[in-house]
Amino acid sequence: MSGVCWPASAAPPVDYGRDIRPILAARCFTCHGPDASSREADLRLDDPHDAFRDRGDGIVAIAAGDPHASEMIFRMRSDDPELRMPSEGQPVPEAEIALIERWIEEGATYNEAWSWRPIEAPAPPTVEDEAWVRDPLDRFVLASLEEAGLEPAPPADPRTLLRRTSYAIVGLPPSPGALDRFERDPSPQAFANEVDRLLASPAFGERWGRHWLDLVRYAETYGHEFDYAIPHAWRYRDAVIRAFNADVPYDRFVIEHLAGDLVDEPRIDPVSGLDESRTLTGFWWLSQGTHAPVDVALDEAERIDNQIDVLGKAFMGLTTACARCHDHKFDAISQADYYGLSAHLKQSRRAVVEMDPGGVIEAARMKALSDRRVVEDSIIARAVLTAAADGDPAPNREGDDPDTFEDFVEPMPIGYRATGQAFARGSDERPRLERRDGGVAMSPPTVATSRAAGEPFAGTLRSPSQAIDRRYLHQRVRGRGSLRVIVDGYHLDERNALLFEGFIRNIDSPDEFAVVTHDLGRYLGRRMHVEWKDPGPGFIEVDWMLASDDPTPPQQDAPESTVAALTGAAVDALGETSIDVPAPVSVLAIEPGTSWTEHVRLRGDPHARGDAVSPGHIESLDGAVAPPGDRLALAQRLVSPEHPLTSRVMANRIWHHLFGRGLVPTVDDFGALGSPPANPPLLDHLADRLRQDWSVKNLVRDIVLSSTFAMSIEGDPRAASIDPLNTLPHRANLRRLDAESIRDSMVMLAGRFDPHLGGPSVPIHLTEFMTGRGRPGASGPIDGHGRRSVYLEVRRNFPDPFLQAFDLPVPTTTVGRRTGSNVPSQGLAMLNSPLVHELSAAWGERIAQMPGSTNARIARMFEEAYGRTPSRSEIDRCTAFIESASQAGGSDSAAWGELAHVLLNGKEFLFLR
Amino acid sequence: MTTGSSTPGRGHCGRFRPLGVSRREMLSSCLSGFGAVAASALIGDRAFGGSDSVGDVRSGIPHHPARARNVIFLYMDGGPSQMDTFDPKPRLSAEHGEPFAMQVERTQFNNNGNTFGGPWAFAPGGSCGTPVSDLFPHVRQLADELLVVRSMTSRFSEHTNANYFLHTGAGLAGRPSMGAWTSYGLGSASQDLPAFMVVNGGLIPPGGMECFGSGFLPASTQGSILLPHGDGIANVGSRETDAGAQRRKRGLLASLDEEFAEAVGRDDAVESAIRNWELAYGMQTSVPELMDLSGETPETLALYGVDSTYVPTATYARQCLLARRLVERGVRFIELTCPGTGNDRWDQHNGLIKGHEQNARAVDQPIAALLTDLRRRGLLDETLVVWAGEFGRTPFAQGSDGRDHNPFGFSIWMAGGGVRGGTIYGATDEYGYKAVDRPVEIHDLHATMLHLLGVDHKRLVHRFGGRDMRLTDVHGHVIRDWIA
Repeated sequence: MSGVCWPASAAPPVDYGRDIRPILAARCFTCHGPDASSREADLRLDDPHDAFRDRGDGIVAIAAGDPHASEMIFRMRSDDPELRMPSEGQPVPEAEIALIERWIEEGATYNEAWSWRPIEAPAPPTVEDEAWVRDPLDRFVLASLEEAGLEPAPPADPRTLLRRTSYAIVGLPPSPGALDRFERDPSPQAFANEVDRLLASPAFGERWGRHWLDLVRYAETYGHEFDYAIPHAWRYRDAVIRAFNADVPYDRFVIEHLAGDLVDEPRIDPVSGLDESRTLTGFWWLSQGTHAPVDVALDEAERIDNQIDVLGKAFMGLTTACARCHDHKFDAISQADYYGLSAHLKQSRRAVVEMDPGGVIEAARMKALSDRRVVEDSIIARAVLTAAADGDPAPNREGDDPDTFEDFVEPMPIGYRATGQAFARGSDERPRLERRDGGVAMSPPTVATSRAAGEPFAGTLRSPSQAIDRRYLHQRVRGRGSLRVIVDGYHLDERNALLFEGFIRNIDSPDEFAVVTHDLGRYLGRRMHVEWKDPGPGFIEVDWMLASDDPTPPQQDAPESTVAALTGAAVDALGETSIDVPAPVSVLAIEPGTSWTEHVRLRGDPHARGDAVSPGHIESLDGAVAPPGDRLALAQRLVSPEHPLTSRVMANRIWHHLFGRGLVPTVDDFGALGSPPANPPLLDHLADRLRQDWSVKNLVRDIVLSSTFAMSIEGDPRAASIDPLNTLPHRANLRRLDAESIRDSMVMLAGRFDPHLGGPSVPIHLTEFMTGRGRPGASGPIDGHGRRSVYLEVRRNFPDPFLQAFDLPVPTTTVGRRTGSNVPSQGLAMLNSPLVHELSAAWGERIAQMPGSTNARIARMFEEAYGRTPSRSEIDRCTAFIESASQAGGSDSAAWGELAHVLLNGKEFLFLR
Repeated sequence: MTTGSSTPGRGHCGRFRPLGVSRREMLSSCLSGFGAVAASALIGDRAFGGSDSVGDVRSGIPHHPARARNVIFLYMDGGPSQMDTFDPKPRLSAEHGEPFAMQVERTQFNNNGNTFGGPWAFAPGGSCGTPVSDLFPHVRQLADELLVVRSMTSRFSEHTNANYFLHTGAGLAGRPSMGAWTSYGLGSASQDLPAFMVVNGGLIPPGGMECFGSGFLPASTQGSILLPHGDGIANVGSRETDAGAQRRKRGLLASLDEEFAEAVGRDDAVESAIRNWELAYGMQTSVPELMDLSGETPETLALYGVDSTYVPTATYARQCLLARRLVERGVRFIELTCPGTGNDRWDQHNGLIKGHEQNARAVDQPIAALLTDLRRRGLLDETLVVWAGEFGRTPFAQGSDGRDHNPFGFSIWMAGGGVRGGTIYGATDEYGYKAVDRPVEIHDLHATMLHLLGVDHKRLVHRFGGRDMRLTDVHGHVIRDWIA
């Protein structure tokens, strides 16, 4: 880590993480690794303390510095089948033994991968050319260039720099006005002003929010066969955009993703009043979804695999999901770590929560409760019904195993949770009086009820999880709403009930209780919970719930409402209360569930149980401290300043987006198989800066204002041999615009740009080539109503063909670095797609209507699309083109539309210098 | 291999600046035209894999002499019944209507009825005598070309997972399709068409376009959809109303692009993009030419059934004929999806007789014509034709007259491209339920297909997400017995 880069000739020392661990993982760890259940001879070779331990008679597996005294080497070379290791299978190849020998000779240092090491705060190095330094980060870059014997590229001209900056920060071209302004005054202060203006624009959040959406495989449908919609996904997208615009500290942003439902003080959006913290947890549920899984346990294992994959890659740059079937072969991630993470998810729930923007619904509930209390008290005061309300609740079940029974003596028994405002939280919210049969009736005293405050409130009640050990689930309910049984977190039966027939039941029995029976025979042994949903108008009351082997529900006399023949104004007031309750806002989020024992699954097979594991973390990263009890604790570990990955990975992502190439090019893999950073001190410097205030905007700003960012693409010719990939970097990278920037720029040039932020997505425009199941019934507008691309619907099975041609990623898992493909379909799209033709024509029409000479109009177009003024020769050629196009018989604006089409096809539009 | 017409006399490869030797070797070894573009996409990805293994691997291709140059994959969407097509089971017919004698695994719908004897008679075909049912009378005549594999298995009994598995070797979306791997490994022999094309008869399989996706491979390797009618390819039709407009635009664009390319030091990405636009212009001509069947003889059109009165047959006939034309144009991997017959693919959970008869009617004559036509043009020996669904069907009934999904044993066949025609490999049990003799995995099919193309499936890798990924993951064996 000390040098900036290795001298080309010297062989680097053997590195445990890079060189040795993979060998040991392949040859030794099965019996001498982290998995205690398969360990032989009580020896761990992955743990130096154990590997160096005296095993009696002075025998040690590894004697640091002395391969000859290392039993391991002796055993690997032994010809004696009794002694030779590994005891089964092929002997270890001599080349590998020699490498291990060298490593032992060099001290057998168990240094983990570079990215596991603590982040240092390296002092910015001294450089020869002090004048080049604008930001401390420049010192790290320049020092490495000076060491490599390279000159940094000269600064880009002001127009090029501003165009580059504008796309980098907001994903849109700079206006001709801004270009003029900056060209006249290209001072550092003027540049800083431009950068601040861009950072303050809401377009920043749209640009950087879209980068983030790539990491969380953002989509609005589940894909698979029918491409069902993911409910309310766009609210997550909007919360991400708002978070980037508000510059929510990244540590907070991470915590909210993992555990926004558990934070003490949720972050409330000042405009919408929505709970942003909880909305961000929606990322957990954006995976693909399979309907009718024959093996629901396997289906859950795949869902969790994807969640852990995204968790690992997006936040830590680790391929954690590799450890599903075996200990990670290259990185220090054990299978137990994986299932420790899995445990967090098995004890959480996917929930469409009913949000209460600004707390207005809760206020209405409190008022309704108190109003009702006044009325009810006046009736009860007449002492008619008090007797019925007194005393112990009547037993209302036949004897059965109490473990499988819930009789709702409390409206919210331990382990039950409600979202929304409908369900009663405390016993004082019961009983409830209602008008009935010409009198007054009292609700059964021991029910879970969603109308304590009245029927207009919406909400969902969730039971604790339990193993399905009886075939039948009976429950006695009434109301107008729905209930469902959820097995192993599987929810797509709400769209396709195959294999889960009847698991979701609508209840329409407002007066009489009825027993609903679920046959769970197919899912014996699986995990389940029950959800009762009150959609708003309507209610649900549950008297009891019983698991049984008997398909017939118990016969019994459940307590019916006591009816008293009362009348009067107070009784009338019990009737239809017309409370004005705003509808809640539905948001897809995570909810705490029931503590659940997870097991390691042998070979990743959900049916092959290994050791039990607690909700955990990655032990090698977080050390031997106690595993976090919940997701919030897990998230807090992740953003602790000591965590070696979180700030490094994010700082590297920011660098990647600004330069087109991360310091670690494998932005989602900081493990041993990823690429090490070209300039480790620079990455640590940036990571250290990020973790000071966790401000993404500050780091973007500092980097953009550096001399490094301002370099032109014209590189030092010597770099062709010294640094052909420009890793240091010594110049800017020429890059193609990303899909969204191309489309958004065209929409802007066409004058169609709608700057409106957020909201439901614009339906995708369908072509005849987009066929298959789940095809939307209606096609969206060609120009997407001028909305930015981030607001176009993301349907997994029907991706926007234009954006797809330009590498919009397939939303399956984290994609921190998009493919930069270069294919003829891009040419076809630009030449012949209705989108580009429509927008070219609109741009031409706008130009045709502008006052001024032909020259001035041509110049305007070059400025708008390319960020520069045209050369004399270009003006001449374009003028000739316009004349020729006009002579061909088209209108004036059609001729300008033709020129617009050419300029948009120009590679100068598509590429960024 | 020839070079593109727009850069006469030299391949694209020579213009790359020195960027690393192994990759350059790979490029200059064989690629030009479309393949060069795919490769240039790779150049953009250089070193992002954390090692240079990719270039080294690709530069070694072919790993051994290839037996096939192209693949035509006849995808039988929904899972045809093995007992009713290529795997006769007399005992099944004998016990028709009786309780099924074997232990029944859980099926998708778990609504399992009694033993269901096959409704169709079998007869031996060709001189080899391989039995083929009356569902495929035309294909039966070509039995000497067929290697029938009766012991195929899958790991999934649900369409989408099984489709991903068949196409990509993994049960979830996100992995590259076998066509993408082929295109990645071999590049294209075509100047102006993509290396992997899907001729879509109408039924995009459950799982959608991801079945033909490039996954983590460069986007240039993904399957391009060709419709068997109309323009064929998206945006391939010029929208210029004025005949001179395109010429005018192209001229100005070329001059602007040339100056820009010069201004940015003839950067590879810009040069490749310019070349891609040239290819796009070329496709405006080549694709209509591909789609224009007027040069085919009436005999050929009739052989395929292009004018069949049964519309699905006419559609599939055009698909098969286009497949031959694509092979002639050097397209490496051609997949045909099924035309709709109104029977929900081959997925006859009920109404087996009507559904299978109509599905077979749609494809039988065109497939036989394709094999015949390839043979007589000398193309069959270098073209591997694969006929397969994602799984088979149960030998016991679902409900009264259907069959459920069965991944435990089913039939596929291959022809041409170095496979041993006129033979049968493997067997299911007496009921056709499970593979019992030499069971084969999808991974083995993939490994053998790549092998026939001259590619070692263990060496065609791409590093992604910290792993060297393969079509066959960590599985797959080349089945030597399949190879002539």
